[in-house]
Amino acid sequence: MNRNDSCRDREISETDRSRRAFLASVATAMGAVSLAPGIFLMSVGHEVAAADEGVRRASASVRWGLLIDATRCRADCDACVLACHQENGLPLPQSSADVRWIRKVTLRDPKSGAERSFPAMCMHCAHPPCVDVCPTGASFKRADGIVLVNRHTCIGCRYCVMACPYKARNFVHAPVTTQKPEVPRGMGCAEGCTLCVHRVDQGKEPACVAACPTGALLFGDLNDPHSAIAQRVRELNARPLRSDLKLDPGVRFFGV
Amino acid sequence: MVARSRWHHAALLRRWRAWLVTLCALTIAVVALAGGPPQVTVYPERGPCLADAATMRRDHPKMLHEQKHRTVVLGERGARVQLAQCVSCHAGAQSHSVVASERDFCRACHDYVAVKLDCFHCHQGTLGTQSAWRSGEGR
Ligand code: HEC
Ligand code: HEC
Ligand code: HEC
Repeated sequence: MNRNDSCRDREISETDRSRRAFLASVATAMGAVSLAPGIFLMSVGHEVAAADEGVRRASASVRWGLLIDATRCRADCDACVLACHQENGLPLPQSSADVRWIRKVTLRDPKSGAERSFPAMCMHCAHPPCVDVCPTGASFKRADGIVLVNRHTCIGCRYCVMACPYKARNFVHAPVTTQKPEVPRGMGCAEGCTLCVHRVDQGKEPACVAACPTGALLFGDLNDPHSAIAQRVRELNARPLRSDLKLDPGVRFFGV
Repeated sequence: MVARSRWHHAALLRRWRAWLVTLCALTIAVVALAGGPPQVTVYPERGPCLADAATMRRDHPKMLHEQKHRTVVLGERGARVQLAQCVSCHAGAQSHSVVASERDFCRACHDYVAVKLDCFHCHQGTLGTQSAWRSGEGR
């Protein structure tokens, strides 16, 4: 049982429990019949916390993930990168010291000259090394599988930056003044792709997914066997990068 | 001679004590009249606060500390306590900020009570600030 569950158990009465069960079944039914992805994500992805109506929490029944289809990704396109920077108020990267939460990677086979291009970001591992090495518990995995830095407890030691095999963590070296109100960030902390947690919690998909012109990116709940992403992952047998590390990433790739 | 001098000293001391007490009383009175919490500008037309002013003065650190855990770790959204909302109600009419100028809401009081406020290194304390990227001045 995780922390989230035990916390809820203390707070809710039996009546609340049955009411919540009823609400959940209604919500699931609505999600199942609805074609609008937003409503579907929201009803499944969040549980209504009993303490305060209208306040929802991340739910452990969900595992958010991404499917990246490299066969649909164009080498000359960086729409996802631009969308990420715009959504999260990041300056456009100019030098190698600049923050990147998502980057385009190009692989080239020297023999055939064939190239593959695809975006890479935090893989939101089920067993994240960045969480293992963090001395303050600031690097953590949310109930729904999103791996984040709690910047209120981050001391900027950068262990996570070194531990991540995907090089997905950044360090903020310079003062920041142009944050967007919904994405606070500042000097002295490690940070990385949040899977646009502020959008996902509102039932939207991450900005990179919304911006992709070719449909190479797919976002959804890997735990739900009927979700578009789970079906597609099965269909394509989409695997994570470096699956030999057995970190069980939530981001999966096809055609890499 | 010796006795008189001793008496003299005691009287002097008594008189000094009286002076000291008066001085203290005066200082306290002056501080009570002129000091107290600094005058912060509030804008009731933007809506009521989360609680009455006395409660807010006492409890706002606790409210914010508790909520940051609940939002970031538990993923609570739509909470009552949100820094962005403090900013939208309490930003100064001219500065559009709670921390930019010495008279801005959070800063005015925090400077006075000498409690360092580092939240706005990360949280946007000024309304309508665009990201550098959008305004085209990105590094
Ligand atoms: C909807 C608008 C609104 C929001 C949101 C709001 N406030 Fe207020 N706040 C007010 C108003 C109006 C007053 C003046 C109340 C009074 O004088 O009775 C006030 C008073 C206060 C005071 C007392 C000031 C004083 O000394 O007189 C503090 C402290 C305070 N707010 C902090 C906060 C914090 C922290 C937040 C965010 C968690 C916040 N407020 C959110 C409108 C708001
Ligand atoms: C009327 C005076 C007053 C105003 C206005 C005020 N504060 Fe405070 N604040 C205090 C005092 C005094 C403390 C220290 C309380 C203590 O330590 O018990 C404090 C403490 C805090 C803390 C905890 C600091 C820490 O490091 O533990 C935070 C966070 C905070 N205030 C945020 C705000 C924000 C945000 C605003 C503006 C929306 C604001 N305050 C406006 C008086 C004020
Ligand atoms: C190093 C950066 C950083 C600093 C400094 C910081 N925060 Fe945060 N804060 C964040 C991030 C990142 C989030 C998560 C935002 C999200 O997921 O929507 C957050 C979320 C919050 C939230 C919940 C969301 C909201 O908008 O209210 C509260 C409350 C909060 N912080 C309070 C504080 C207080 C009080 C301070 C100062 C004592 C502070 N923070 C300092 C980065 C920071």
